[in-house]
Amino acid sequence: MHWYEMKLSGKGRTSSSVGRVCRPERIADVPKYLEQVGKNGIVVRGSASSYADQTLNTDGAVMMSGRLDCIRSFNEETGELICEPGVTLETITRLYGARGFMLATASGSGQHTLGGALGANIVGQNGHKKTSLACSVNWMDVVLADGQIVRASLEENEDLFRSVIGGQGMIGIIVLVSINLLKKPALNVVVEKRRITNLNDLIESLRTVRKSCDFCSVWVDTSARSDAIGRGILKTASFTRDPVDVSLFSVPKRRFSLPQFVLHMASWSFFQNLRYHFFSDTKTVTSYEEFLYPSDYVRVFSSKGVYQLQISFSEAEGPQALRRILTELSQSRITACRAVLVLTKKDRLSYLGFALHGYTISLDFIRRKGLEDFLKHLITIATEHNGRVSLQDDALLEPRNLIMMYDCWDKFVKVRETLDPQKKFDSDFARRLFVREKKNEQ
Amino acid sequence: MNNKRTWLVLGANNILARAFARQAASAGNDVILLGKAGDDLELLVNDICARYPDVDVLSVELDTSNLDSFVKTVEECEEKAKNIISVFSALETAYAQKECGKDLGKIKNMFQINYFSQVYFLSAIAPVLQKQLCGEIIVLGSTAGEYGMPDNYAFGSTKAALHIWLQGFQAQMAQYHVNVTTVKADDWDTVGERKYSFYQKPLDPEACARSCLHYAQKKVKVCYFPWYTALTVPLRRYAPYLYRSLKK
Repeated sequence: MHWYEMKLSGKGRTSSSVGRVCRPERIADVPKYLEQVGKNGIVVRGSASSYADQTLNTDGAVMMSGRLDCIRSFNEETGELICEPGVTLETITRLYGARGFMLATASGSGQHTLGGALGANIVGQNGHKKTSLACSVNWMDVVLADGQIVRASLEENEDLFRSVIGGQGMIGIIVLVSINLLKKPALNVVVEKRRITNLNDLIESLRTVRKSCDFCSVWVDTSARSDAIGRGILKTASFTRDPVDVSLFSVPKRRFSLPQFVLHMASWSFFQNLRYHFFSDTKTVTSYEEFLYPSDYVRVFSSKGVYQLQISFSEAEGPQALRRILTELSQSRITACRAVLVLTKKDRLSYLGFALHGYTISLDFIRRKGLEDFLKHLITIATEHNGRVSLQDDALLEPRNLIMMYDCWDKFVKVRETLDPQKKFDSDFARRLFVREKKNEQ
Repeated sequence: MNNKRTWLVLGANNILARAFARQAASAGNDVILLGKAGDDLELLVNDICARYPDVDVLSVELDTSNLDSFVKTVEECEEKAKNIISVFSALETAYAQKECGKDLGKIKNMFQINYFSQVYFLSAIAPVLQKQLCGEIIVLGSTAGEYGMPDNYAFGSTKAALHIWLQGFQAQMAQYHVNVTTVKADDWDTVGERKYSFYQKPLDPEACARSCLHYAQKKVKVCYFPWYTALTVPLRRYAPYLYRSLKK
């Protein structure tokens, strides 16, 4: 049993905290560590992919789950994989992709641990086909606040299952997961990229591709003004049996971080303009594994910090809400350093599932003076259009927003009160958003 | 016999040994895991089988409290191995200096596992590797064995003894074309309370395992992980002397 004092931050580096950190290497150690937790509780941290304070616990304990990464079994016939939560999505794809299997969700990053991906209930580029990764989970073993290990699934302990999925680690610690990997329809995907001229074109194109393609995402140019608002590049992909295109001049994919000068607001706007204007429509066939995890290759890390705001809108409200948000961005001359739009399906599985049947836009901003107020304004717009802000990367949501956005919020709180009345599973995020709940107790 | 290896991974319950076993298996080598009975050896065997179904993975019990049993263990491994035998040893236990001060038995235990177990096992396996006229031995050392630190000098002394023994062993095995690599890993989070600064993080076992395999293939004798500790260790070692002499 070793504890370390460590300064930790979220991926966005907008908030940091000092906490006591432990790294269990066996499932049997998890309840033992739980016994040693102090008054500020404990939070589980996987690959630290959350942007804000979701995995921070000031003056409390943090459990790093990365070393709980054993795979127990894999059934080649059914595709059932039983593994510990520290296994990353990229590892699963690397190991089983070549054997003809794939994860249900094609998330943007493969660095997420399986436990983290379920705890945050991530959606992917195929969000319009498969709601989230959780839809392929058979069952999972969860360590509760009293140290008991309980199996949860849709058939057994349903409330627990629905709360842990997307629960940001506030209910229990996932220690074992049974997940079904899907058989890949084909080894390769045909990826088409085409330019979108404005928002009307964007919405129209997305309506068309929702039924026709397997994967879809749009890079939105947030530096666009007036009539060009909503312009961008639409990327769609579908499985194909065609062979992979061979090019003599292909550049190998390398992971790199963008230099700081690129992250300046003016230069970012300039680069977005360049990207849009010099882009030409393409159609290529690539292997499925090559196509996955696009956001792992270019890292946007600013020393000032990066905020991410991910908002889901229904199909009816989406076009209007997106227009308002993009217009606000244009008028305030604030350029998002990354803006990606994906299609999603309503998440009915999780109590804190954020995806609605419609559109989800993800915006990254370099921290600067006055940005927090602007983002709060965007959250207000989202509330007015019945949108939902994703909890996995949120840094600025307030308790009142949460209650208005999430219908099953009360069910989640009830489960939390029943299973963890002492708030053993706690974090800076939980204290920020569940503050009312604590006040009521006092 | 082909170029494929059968890696004997000692101390398989260690997180680094676990990472190394996976790394070796991913390169298509067979693996024999050696560790205490009751450790999660079977768990690791299942893990590697589920990851790499084409690789043969076995587990063999290693009783570090009975050093004389190692000869039989080596015979058992030799019998089971189908390819060229190579060894990765991460047999290690660590106690904080405070605990050692209270109970000297802990120092004895550390010497038993960190030094005597490795020396006995490597001595027992040496004739097998000499007969092969090839193979690799990788032993996990530590930068703690380079200089004494107030918080872990008991642990460091076990590693220092091991480093010296390995220097001689390297020369002996080199005559038989067997390469011995000592990997001196920095601040491994195995013992005691630590305070990490913002950018200093505990070592990544997978990266370390990759480096171990890479250095063994390059036939490096001594390497540091991370590589820059080769520069910082002498600095850390001599900085207090320099400071004192300049002060005079």
